[in-house]
Amino acid sequence: MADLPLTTTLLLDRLRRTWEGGESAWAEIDARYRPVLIGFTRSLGLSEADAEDAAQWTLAEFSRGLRGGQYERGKGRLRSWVMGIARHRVEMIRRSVGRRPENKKVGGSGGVSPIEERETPDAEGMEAIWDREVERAVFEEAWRRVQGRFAPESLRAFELVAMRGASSAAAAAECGMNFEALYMAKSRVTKALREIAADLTRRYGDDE
Amino acid sequence: MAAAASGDDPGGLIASHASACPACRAALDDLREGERFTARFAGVLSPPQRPGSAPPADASGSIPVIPGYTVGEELSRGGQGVVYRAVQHETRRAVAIKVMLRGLFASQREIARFEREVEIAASLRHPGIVTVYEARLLDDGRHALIMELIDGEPLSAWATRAPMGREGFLRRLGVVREVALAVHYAHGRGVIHRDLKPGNIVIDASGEPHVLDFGLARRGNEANAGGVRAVDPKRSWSGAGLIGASMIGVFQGTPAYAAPEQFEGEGSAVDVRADVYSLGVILHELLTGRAPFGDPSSGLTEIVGLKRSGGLTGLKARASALGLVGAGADAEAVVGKAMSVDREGRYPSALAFADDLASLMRGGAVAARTGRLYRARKFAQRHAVALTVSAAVVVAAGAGITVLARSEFEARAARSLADLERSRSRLESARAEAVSHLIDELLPIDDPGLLTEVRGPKAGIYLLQSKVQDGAWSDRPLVRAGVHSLLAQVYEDRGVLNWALVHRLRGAGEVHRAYGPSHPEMAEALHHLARVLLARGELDDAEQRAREALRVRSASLGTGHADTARDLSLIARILLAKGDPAVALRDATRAEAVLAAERPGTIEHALSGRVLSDALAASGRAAESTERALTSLRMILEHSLDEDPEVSRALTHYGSRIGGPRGDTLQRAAADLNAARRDDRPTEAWARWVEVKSGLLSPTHPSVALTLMFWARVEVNRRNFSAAQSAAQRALDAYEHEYGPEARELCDALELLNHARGSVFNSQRSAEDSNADALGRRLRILRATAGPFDELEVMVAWREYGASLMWTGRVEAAEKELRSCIARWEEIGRPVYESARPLNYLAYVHMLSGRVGKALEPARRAHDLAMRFEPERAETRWFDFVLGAALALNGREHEGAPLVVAGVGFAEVFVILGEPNTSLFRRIADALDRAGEDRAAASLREAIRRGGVTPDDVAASK
Repeated sequence: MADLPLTTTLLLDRLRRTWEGGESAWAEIDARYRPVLIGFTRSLGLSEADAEDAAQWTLAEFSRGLRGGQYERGKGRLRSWVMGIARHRVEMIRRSVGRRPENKKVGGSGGVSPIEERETPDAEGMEAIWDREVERAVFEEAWRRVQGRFAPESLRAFELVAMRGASSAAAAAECGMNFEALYMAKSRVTKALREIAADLTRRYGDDE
Repeated sequence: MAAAASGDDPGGLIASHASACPACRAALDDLREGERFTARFAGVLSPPQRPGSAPPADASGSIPVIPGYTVGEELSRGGQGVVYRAVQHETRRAVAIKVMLRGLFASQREIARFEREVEIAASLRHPGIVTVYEARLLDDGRHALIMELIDGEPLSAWATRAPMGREGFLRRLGVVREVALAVHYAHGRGVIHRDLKPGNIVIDASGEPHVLDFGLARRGNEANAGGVRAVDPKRSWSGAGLIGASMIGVFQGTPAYAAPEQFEGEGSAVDVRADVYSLGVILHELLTGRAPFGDPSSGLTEIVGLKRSGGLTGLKARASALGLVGAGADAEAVVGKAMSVDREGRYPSALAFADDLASLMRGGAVAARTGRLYRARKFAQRHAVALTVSAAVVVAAGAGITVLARSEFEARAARSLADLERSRSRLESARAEAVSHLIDELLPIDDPGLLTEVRGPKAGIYLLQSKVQDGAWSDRPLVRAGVHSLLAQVYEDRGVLNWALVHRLRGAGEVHRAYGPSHPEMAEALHHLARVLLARGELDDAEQRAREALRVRSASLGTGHADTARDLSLIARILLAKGDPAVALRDATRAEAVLAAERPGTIEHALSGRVLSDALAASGRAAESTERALTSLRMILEHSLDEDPEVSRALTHYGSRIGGPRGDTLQRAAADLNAARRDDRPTEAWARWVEVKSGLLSPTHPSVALTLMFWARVEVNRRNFSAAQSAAQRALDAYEHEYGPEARELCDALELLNHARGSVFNSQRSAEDSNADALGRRLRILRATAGPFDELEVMVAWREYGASLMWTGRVEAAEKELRSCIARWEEIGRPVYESARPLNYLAYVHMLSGRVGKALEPARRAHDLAMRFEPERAETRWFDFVLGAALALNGREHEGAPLVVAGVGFAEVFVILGEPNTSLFRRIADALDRAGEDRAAASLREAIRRGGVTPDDVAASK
């Protein structure tokens, strides 16, 4: 069935097996990995535009690799492979940015280099960045999905108390709720977010 | 309780109640989990998500869990780690927690050094230095530093808002003087900062500076190579801290603030005057708006070169251009002295520098400074680093179990067979639940595709084991018995008999507590206990337990009951092992007869047949024995999946009975089946196994078809398409033979056949292949057999069929099917996201066949539907592309161009994946070009070009 939540393994399987239906499988993979790749490459110092380019390039290279049979389950972790492609691309972009004439000025005052000079994290650091970006993507998607599932004031209550660190009194006043209602709203939103996040996280679960 | 979850539980009243009350404990745990989740959630999403410039390199993974603290939002990130705001439960004190980069410490020695540094840092008590309270080792192996939380802003941000004029000048001098005094204090305790910079100085609400990261050797990956040595507390401050050859790597990012000698090679000692230099740079920056040698992102070599050449001019002019009044020759001289290239020329100490700043300030009216904020501080002793065992194991242990709510006493009182059967079914429910618990532990992911790839099953088993040992399900003895039974089964299958015995004994104990000694469930527990004892060779014990089981069972169920017969069969096995074939044969014969009558064809029947076969063999009746073995094997094959250990046991058994080459073949097949993972089995082994199974059952037996299906899937995954195709075809034939040409059972095989033939990676794929036919047939069967809940499945199959016709070039037929599919959706009248897809395909078909005028309407409708239901879905960009293309081909290029650009990433990937219609893409690009939409045309052309590069091209270009 087309719309059941599928884990990466099944998506890749579907993508590999058939062209028919491949678009929707690919769309899932795209939805799942593009935000993570953008965050990941941004964390490695790319600008927004370069990160978007790197994400597209990585996804393209990834599908090319799939087609060329360069990836087989059991031979390594999927995400290491994807990360490797992305990292390679980041290096390429860094080098090409370094070659752009405007970045060659000696002692250049003013203009900030588009690529920050920074230490390249080691493998564990990369994994940590990746994990964080997956988590961010999951949370962003979870946050998006709870919109509309709750009354706006419930969401506002959650946002104020949980995300902006507002005091209960201030939040209750702003949302026009008593403490009990505020607490209920917050815990209901929390519960929904947890469930959605757990479900979404599972889909990344077989990246390893 | 919510308060208790977040640490606000005066006197621990709630906690102490909860520790005695399982329900409250579970609720409290759940609340805590919720709090932890919220903190994490807020921490990840709250900080500005995408700041204008590139964010700093990440230093760690997710938001940490730190016992005793509620960790909240992320405050900052740096080269060493991420800093979070947190609250200490005990004191309700707000703190900052810096979680160090994973892998920051390469060795135990590095860790020990870090701990010593923390100890030193924690000994610094100065209002101008951010207090370090303690270091912690987190459960995930990262180190965390718990520090005083300063609500304020970095010095650089402060400077942009600080006043100008004379007052501004003095305020800036005052801040740097305060910093210098704090730095001097630390120098007096043998600690050199070595990385002073505006980012390490926080100005609080009352304008006081606080220096961060004192006493912590700056670490980066390069530093792990051994370049930087930390301050040795035993040394005097003047000689403390050596900077090694890899300094350049270490200072990557802030070389602008480092003293020239910090760039020197091995052996060049860095002393307090390096910090004096950095203070000079900071002052320069505060007075002129910029660091003296280029901005911090300038190249390292440039900075080093400039610094070595000295050359510091124009401070006065720049300061006045910035709007500061009073920065004259004196100020220039002070900065110049602090920043002397030769350190002999600098102030000898930070105090001397501070004193000179004071003189500079006395030169005119002095802005009154507010009193200092002396805060109560506690200096925590460095905590012994301890790993805490995760408490998550016990979470929710008591929740969710609803079976067996009725009194178990009731069951004990039950006497009639019907009642006993009912209680048995309840126990089965409890077992099923225990199974689901186990599966949950074993399979972190609910993906049937991963069944062959169970990771760390041992970890899951240990987890379950520790749950049950820790008293989980304490009010549900039967669930506990079920878990013990499962664990025993797991260990038995792996031959770990001592643990199997432990769990059988414990399980029997639970059943005894629940039901007493005379219940059929007790007999069942004893039966299994006897089996383990038999496997361990403890034959007398085994016989005694088995006879006890038989006695209890005969009394409650009668001698003609199938379960009683199982006991008898077990006793026969034990007697055979003890060398008493005559009695064994008698018991085995009787047991097999009862099971043949009561549960014919079941695994239990099959197993009793195997015992009988052995007893016959032991009594010298070889031919009968072999015949029994074969019957038993067939039953097993019919009822078990290939992976079931019973299958290979039965094969081995039968193989050893018949002996000879045929027996060898069977035993080899058994060994193949024992291969740990199905994917490891080579094609020949699959072929051999299918042959064996066909021979033992029949070539068209459904069980054989099932094996063929497994095999075909494995071969598809290996991209071994010819083998996959032939296996799938044989499975299809077998099903057709057994169930007829229109049976639902055929559908899976047809889909698989399509996969096996139609893969994009199948180089033998040709336009005339018949995979569309397979999908068409599947669709017909699905439609004919559809039940009330199969509608969506039929519609998806319909769309897939239409698409497959299109991809194999049968455009007319594709159009017809897609139209019918769309018409059916209209009939259904409940549009969903899926109903957009056939419309999108139809638009695509029209464009392919050149009838572009007809493409626009379905493309628009598809797009509208997709946007209506799931506008955020990535696939909508493909809908964008098709609509954009349709617009472009209909003379509305300007409207279409942005949509094409939106979906061009998809187009590229589809070309890579084998999209056969790149000529259509070129036509779209041409249309865009003609209308002057150069950018859109170029990006589409680029996508076609990049997408068209094959893996071989890539290899050739390397």
